[in-house]
Amino acid sequence: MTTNDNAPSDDAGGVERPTNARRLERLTESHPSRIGVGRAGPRPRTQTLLEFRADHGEARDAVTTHVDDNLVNRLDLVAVRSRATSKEEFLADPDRGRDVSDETVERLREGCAEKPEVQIVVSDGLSSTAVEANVPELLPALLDGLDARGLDVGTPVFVEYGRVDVMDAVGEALDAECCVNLIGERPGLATNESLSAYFVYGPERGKSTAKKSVISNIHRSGLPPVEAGAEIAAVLEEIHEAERSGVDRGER
Amino acid sequence: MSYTATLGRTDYEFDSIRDLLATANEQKTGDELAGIAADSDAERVAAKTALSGLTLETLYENPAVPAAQDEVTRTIREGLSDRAYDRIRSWTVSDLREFLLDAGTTDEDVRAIRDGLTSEMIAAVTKTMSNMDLVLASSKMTTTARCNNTIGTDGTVSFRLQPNDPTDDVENIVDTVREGLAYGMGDAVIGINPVTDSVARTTEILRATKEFMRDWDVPTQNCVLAHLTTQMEAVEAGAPADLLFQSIAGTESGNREFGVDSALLGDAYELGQRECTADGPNVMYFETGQGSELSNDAHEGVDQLTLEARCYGLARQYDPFLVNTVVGFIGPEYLYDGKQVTRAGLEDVFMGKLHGLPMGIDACYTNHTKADQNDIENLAVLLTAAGANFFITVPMGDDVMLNYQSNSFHDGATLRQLFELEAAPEFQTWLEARGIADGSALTATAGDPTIFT
Amino acid sequence: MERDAAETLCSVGIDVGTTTTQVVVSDLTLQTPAVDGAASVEVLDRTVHYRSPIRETPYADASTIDTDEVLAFVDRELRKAGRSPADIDTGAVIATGAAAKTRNAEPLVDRLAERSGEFVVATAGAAYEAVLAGRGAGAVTRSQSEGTTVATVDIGGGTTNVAVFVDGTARQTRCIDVGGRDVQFDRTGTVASVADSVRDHYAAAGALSDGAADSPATHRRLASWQADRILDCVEGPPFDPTTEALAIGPLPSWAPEIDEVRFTGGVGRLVADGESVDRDPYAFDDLGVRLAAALRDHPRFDTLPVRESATDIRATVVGVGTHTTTFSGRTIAVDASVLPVRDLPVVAVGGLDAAESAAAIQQRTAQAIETARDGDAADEFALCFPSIGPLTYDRVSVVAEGIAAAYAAAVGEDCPLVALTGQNCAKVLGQTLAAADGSRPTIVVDELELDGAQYVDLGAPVANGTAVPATLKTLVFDE
Repeated sequence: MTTNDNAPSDDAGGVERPTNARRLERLTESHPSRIGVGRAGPRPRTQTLLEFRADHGEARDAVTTHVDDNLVNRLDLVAVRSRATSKEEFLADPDRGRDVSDETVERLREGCAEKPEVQIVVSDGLSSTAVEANVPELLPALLDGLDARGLDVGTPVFVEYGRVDVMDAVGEALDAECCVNLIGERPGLATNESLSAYFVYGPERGKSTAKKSVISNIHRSGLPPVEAGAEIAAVLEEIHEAERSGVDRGER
Repeated sequence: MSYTATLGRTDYEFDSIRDLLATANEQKTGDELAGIAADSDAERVAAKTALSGLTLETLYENPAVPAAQDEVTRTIREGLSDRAYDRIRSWTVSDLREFLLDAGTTDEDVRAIRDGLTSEMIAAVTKTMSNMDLVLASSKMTTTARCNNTIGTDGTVSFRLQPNDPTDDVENIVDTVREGLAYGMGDAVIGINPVTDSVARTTEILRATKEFMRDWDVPTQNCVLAHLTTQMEAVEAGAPADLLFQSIAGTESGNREFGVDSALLGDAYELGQRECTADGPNVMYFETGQGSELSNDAHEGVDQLTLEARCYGLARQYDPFLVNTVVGFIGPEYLYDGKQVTRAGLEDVFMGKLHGLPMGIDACYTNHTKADQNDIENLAVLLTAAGANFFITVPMGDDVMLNYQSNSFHDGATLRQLFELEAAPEFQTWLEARGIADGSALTATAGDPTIFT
Repeated sequence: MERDAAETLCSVGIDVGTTTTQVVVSDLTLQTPAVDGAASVEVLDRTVHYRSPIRETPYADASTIDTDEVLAFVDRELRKAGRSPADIDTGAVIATGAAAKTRNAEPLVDRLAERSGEFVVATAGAAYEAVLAGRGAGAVTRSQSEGTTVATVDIGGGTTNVAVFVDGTARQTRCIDVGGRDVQFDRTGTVASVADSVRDHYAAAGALSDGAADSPATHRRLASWQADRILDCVEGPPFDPTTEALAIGPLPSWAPEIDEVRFTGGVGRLVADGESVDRDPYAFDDLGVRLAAALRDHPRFDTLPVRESATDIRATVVGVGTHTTTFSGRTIAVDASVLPVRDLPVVAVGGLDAAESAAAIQQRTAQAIETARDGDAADEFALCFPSIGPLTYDRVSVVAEGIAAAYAAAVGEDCPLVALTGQNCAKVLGQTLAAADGSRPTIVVDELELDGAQYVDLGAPVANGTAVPATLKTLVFDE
């Protein structure tokens, strides 16, 4: 390679020759955004660009991949599918992800305990990665917490291609009193592992979103999954005792 | 009354103008979700054919939502210029399309008729146009607006600097402002979406950004995109806001879901004239986006493009400084992939400009949409060619608060260089005085946020 | 966008100094995030709602504060602020300088708490007070936003407390027995009293013998000696041996480069204003005015990057009123019947990362319990766990088993278990501990800044019962 005055220096990235190097370091070290990244002409530097693309690639994969069958078996989840028949259909038509077929209702009734006080549902939602990363730590802490509170827990169910409201259909099929849906959130570039827990008292198809409660941002750098399990158990107890969820519980 | 068209050996019949408008849309998952989309590509073209033959008067007589039940329809009609309408009422949709594309039609000629166009007419002509039609027609229309600086003048393209932070940390926000300004971004507005919708938080961010703008003499506008009522309360208590923001919808019920109506928008407009820190006269900022009405169950059976046009019809009653569509934010159930996002972006900017609005775009996508950064870089190039007034920009295209991707500060600088465009005039002078830009190009010191320390 | 629940706590700050006593009433606006499971309660706004006039500290005798008189003053000022003792949610009393020496704060706190029934804590130690004064003077925000090192120099009647903030964090304190009241005069201008610190360490103290006639030159020389000590304290290390002898607690061993100095406190305000130039040197019947003048005239004074502080004399009381309370994480396990708890010694259970088995964890916990009892036979203490290792279900189970076993073996069964953790794991640790030992009242509170904490106060839950206010008292700042 020939010497070129315009060739960038061989450092990995960032602003070349900043006015205030100490300030630049402070500015970038703990900042959540991608700043102080420098440029190649008006375009991003190579490493910055590739880091961005890598994060987006992982986020896309979290959306499009499937939860490992072995994990579903290991956690003793009864596996069913929503009315969606593929990821594409699931993404284009959310209503299909909110419901289950009559055959699935039959399967649920055969394979699961009916009339539980608490029905646990796990759904892939928009991130299979979130389910795989969090549910193995979360579920045992949740079950301990429910057990300590003397709540009657049904057979945990896994719904592939499930949306938040699929817990209404599952809960209705099993005549559950309360339902919690542990569901993969839409991935961001910072994490593709974020999980949410949605709650409903008296699940039935068509129950409005406002009547549901939620805890979001469950992942190792947010609310740690094992801590979330204990917290979800406490929230379920509150909902069970108050006999209501969402706006009915005074939430906005 | 029904409308018909024949393609080959097949006759197509449409029950209503609303049905015809919906079927004539380019393919969008949102219309399919609403159950009003064309069943086939041939039916779609048949609808376009039938639509192109309608007179504009027919569209005037048949608003997508009846005036009696919807204040958006009433607001649009009340604002219409009778004189301009009389000139074009007998035109067909096809006539309007060819008028806009005609080499002899100037910006002045469009200006002379546009106040006679209802949002349904503008939606209809959009449905008969191809992507390149939209780019060409948009590029003819100049729409300027003035707040602390002037956007939309010939030879310029502006950018919103969007320094969102996941915890509303004002230090982080100001540091991102430093980064964006170092790339020449921020001449449209320094606008923050807060995590927390509170008067205290809104005030804190407005103060911090205003203080920075004063310290460094930045000739631009600040805005915190909390709910309109929150901003109004903050401004009434003395918070320094240049612009008042609100998301709006194309139906009365949609606006109700957003917690606004035309009376509140009118109050905000009055308050903005009186209390905003800006020179004005344009002090309002609106965001829109295809599919928002359907997602709030407020679409009244109307397709998402027509509803989007009606947002612009509503917006223009309040002389906004900025209007932009947030085109890919809503998700794949409304705009499935890069192709649908691109099409919607071109449509929205064209429709906004034909409404006479200083129209910009947040060219963006979420991670569950089948799109990537290349798609919105393409869209930004197309829309700069189309003369969009401004784009949203975030650091490296990654908004860490709203968790979606938009254009980057780098994209903004690149678009200016590619198309030999400058920033808004007052801002351009400032950029050159601070040694950040030299004409449409960045200087050697640009891109260093620590020049503002 | 979330619309979060907000609540406002009324916080009272009472500063009983050697010379003066002040009260501030503040409103702390708390915000509780609605949805985000990882977000903490946040203090959205700290507004000083009312500042009392500055009054002379009432003494019952030479070293004992007249508690009744202070309480009466507090009541009057609360009334003027439009509040009653029952309105107080949180707050702190600080007794500084000479007033601190006989632990005067404690009876005050006890009596205030009796009436408000709420969370009012006593602060302890000159170092902590130095940090509060710095916070009240805005040094945290300033050093954080500018990325600089800011030193606050709080000069009061009896002590000078220096706190050094680097990038928003208190990194050092330097406290010495030097203040404006080191010599007091009577109405006739004769010396009424001389502080022991001056008698013991000022070579020419003999010239100040009580009752001696006013001698401006003598007083100027003493003030200039005091100024030397204060500047040495700000500039060091190394320190002059006399400065070391006057130190309250340890002095730091390294010298950060200081970008900005702010003077606060009664004498500090005179320094910052330059008011001392025109004043009657005995306006306050003490050396304060002369000390301020001596500092300004000192040859090295102009080398200091001095910046005026917004709160000057009230820095400490503002710091006390607005910055003593922090909040725990929002997923916690508390037996509310045990709260509030005050001034529990904090003992860290270190090295837990390396302890793999429940037995090893039990052993380390038992050691910590023993340490906690070392000075004090009581079982009232808080164990702190900076890290319990990876936050997995299996790990939490093992840790809980170890801790529960250590308590079962060594601590009476009615005695509460109070644990503080750095990681976000209080709820699950509490749940697992309860499963192991169901009868013991248990409090596990997480996401606290535990570095160097020696005492802790925990208040009754706020934010819909999801978090508790906590005051962690750090007596030594030197990293």
